[in-house]
Amino acid sequence: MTASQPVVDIQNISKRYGRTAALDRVSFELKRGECVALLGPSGCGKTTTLRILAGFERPDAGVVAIDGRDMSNARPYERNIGLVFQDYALFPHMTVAENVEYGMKRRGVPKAERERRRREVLRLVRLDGLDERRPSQLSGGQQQRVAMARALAPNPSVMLLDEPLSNLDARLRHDLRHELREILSAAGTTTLIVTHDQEEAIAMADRIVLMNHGRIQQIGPPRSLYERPENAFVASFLGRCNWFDGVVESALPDGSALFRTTEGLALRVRLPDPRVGAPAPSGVAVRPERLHVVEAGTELDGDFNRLPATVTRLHYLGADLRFDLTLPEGRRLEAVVKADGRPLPAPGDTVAVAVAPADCVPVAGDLPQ
Amino acid sequence: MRPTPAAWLLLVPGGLLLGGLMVAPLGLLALESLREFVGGRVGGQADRPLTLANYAELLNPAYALYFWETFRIGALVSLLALIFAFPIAYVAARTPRRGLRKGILGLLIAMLFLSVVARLYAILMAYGPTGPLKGIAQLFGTSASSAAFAEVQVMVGLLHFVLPIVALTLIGTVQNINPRLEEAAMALGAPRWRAVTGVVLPLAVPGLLSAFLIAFAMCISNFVVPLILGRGVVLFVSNLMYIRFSEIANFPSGAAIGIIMLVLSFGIVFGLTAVIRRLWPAAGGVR
Repeated sequence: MTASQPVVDIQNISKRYGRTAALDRVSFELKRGECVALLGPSGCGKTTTLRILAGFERPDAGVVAIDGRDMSNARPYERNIGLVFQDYALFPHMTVAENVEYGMKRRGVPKAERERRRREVLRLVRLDGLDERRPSQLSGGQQQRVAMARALAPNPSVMLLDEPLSNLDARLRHDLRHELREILSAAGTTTLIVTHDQEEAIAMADRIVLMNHGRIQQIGPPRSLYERPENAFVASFLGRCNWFDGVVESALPDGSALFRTTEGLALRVRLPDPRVGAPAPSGVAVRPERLHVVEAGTELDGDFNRLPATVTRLHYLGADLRFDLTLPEGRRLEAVVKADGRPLPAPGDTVAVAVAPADCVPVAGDLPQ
Repeated sequence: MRPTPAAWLLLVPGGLLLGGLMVAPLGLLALESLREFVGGRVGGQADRPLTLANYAELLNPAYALYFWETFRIGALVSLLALIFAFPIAYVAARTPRRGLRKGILGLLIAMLFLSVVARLYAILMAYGPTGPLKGIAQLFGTSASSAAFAEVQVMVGLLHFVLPIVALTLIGTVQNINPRLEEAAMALGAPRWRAVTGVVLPLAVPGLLSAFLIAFAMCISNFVVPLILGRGVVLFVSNLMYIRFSEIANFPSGAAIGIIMLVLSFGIVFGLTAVIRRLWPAAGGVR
C-alpha cells in the first residue's frame, strides 16, 4: 500500500430501485486522512452511497475498493469501517464502556488492550468518567460523542458519518461541528460525512462531493465549489445567489467576456470554461455579498459593472444588511453588505449596484426553482 | 399526566362490562367452591355451612398431577413457540421483500382462521395410531399409540394453536427495535447472527415475555387439544373441570379447581414478570 493510494475508491457505482435510478455512475475517492462531505438535497443518493460503502446495499454496477481491495460484495462486518448513524444507534442495554468496546470485542482484541483503547477514545471525545452510564442517561451531545468513540475504537480504515449533527439543536450543532472536526483530525482517520447541511459541509470538509438526482454535480474544496460553481445547481445549492439568464456573446480584450441577459442588459463576466465539450453557459451567478450597493453617482475605484437599482426592502441582520433591490428591467437582486454604521438608503431610493466581472460566474444548466 | 375527572367517565362502559361479566360470575364461582357437595345432587348445598373440603381434596397427589402436567406442558409449548416463532417474526419484520413479508403474515393469519378442531383432527389423522405418518413416533423411540406420543401430539396441537399468535406478537416486538442497532453491530464486526443474539434478543426480552405469557395462558386454559389429541391419556385441568361440572355435576369441586387455577396462573404471571425484570433491568427501561 502506497501513501498516495486512496483509502476509499468508488468507481462508477450505479443503483436502481425499481424504475428510479438512485445512483448513476458515481465515482470519487477519499485520500488518507482526508475529510470529505457528501452533500446534496434529500433523495439525491448520498445515503445510498453511504450504505453501499458500508456494505448494507450492493451496487448494481461499479466497484467499491477500501485500502486497495475490492469490497463491492463484502459484508459490512468484513469491511473495516466505523459508522456513526444520525440517531447514533447506541446499544441501549449496554453501558458506555460496553458500547465502545463492542467492536474491539468482535475483532478479538484482548481485554486489557480493549480497556486501554476505550479510555483513550473516551478521552479523545472528552467523555472520560461516564463509562458506566447507559445511553439513556446521556445528553444528545454526549450520545453523539459515544457513537464517535464506539466507531473510532477499532481503528477503522474509514469513518462514515450519516448526518452526524442533525439530531442536535442549532447551537450545539454549531459548537460540535468544530469539536467533531478536531476529534477526526486528532484521530487521523479518513472520513466521509453525509449531510444535507451546506454550512456543515463547508465548515468540516476538506473536499465536498455535491450530488443531485443520483449524479455527482461537482467535486472540490468548499471554496472552489462556492466561488467557481460548474453549473446552476451547484451555484444555487451552496449559499445564495443572484441569477441572470442569458448568453455569452463574445470574449473581450481585457480577459472578461460580454454577457447579454434575456432582457438585453450587458454585463462583463468571467470567461466561461474554455474546455472543449463544456456545456454552454445559460446564465450568470453572482453571490449577494459580491454586490456593492453605493449611492447613485458615486465614483468607484476599479473595474465594475454598474447597474442602477431601486431599494425595495432593507433587512437589518445585526452584523450584516440585506438589500432587496429591483433593476429597471424588473429583475430582482439580493445584496448583503457589512453593517459598518454608514447612513442607509431607504426603501424607494435609487442606488447603484456595482459588481466586478470576476464575481460574475457564467454557469450552465437550469436554475432549480 | 393525571386524567381529568371527565376522563374517568370513559372507564364506565368497560367497568360495567368487566363487573357484570367477570367479577360477579367469578364471585359466585368462588362462593360455590366453598359449598358442600352431596353425591347424586346437582351443585352445592346452599343451606349448609361453608367448607374448605373441596380445596383440601385437591391436595391429593392424583389431582395435583393434573395441575403439574398442565403447567409443565404449557410452559414447554410456550417456550417452543418462542423458539419457532422468533425467526419467523424476525424475517417478516426485517425482510426488504414486501412479497415475503405479506406471505408470512397471510399464512399466520390463515392459520388463525382455520378451525382448531379441524386442525387437530388433521394432526390426529396424519400422526395418530392409524395415520399414514404414525412412523414418526418410532423416531421418538415409541409407538403412535403410546402415552408418551399422546403427549407429543398434544404439544404439537398446542404449538399449532399458539404459534401464529406468538409470531404475530413478536413481529411487533422486532419492528419496534431500531434496525440501525443491528447495522451498527454489523459495522462493528458482528455477523448478522451475532447482531441478532447480542442486540435484538436482549432488547426483545419484554416482548418475548409478553408473547410467552400469552402462549402460556392459551395453553394452560386449553380444553379441546387434550380432549382430541390426548386420547384420555393426557388431561388438562380444564378437562378435569369439565368432568366435574358436566359429568358428575360436582359444581363445588369444579369451582374450587377453577379458583385454584386462577390463583396459580396469576402467581406465575406476576412471579415470572418480576424475575425477568430483575434479571434484565435494562429490558424494562427500553422500548
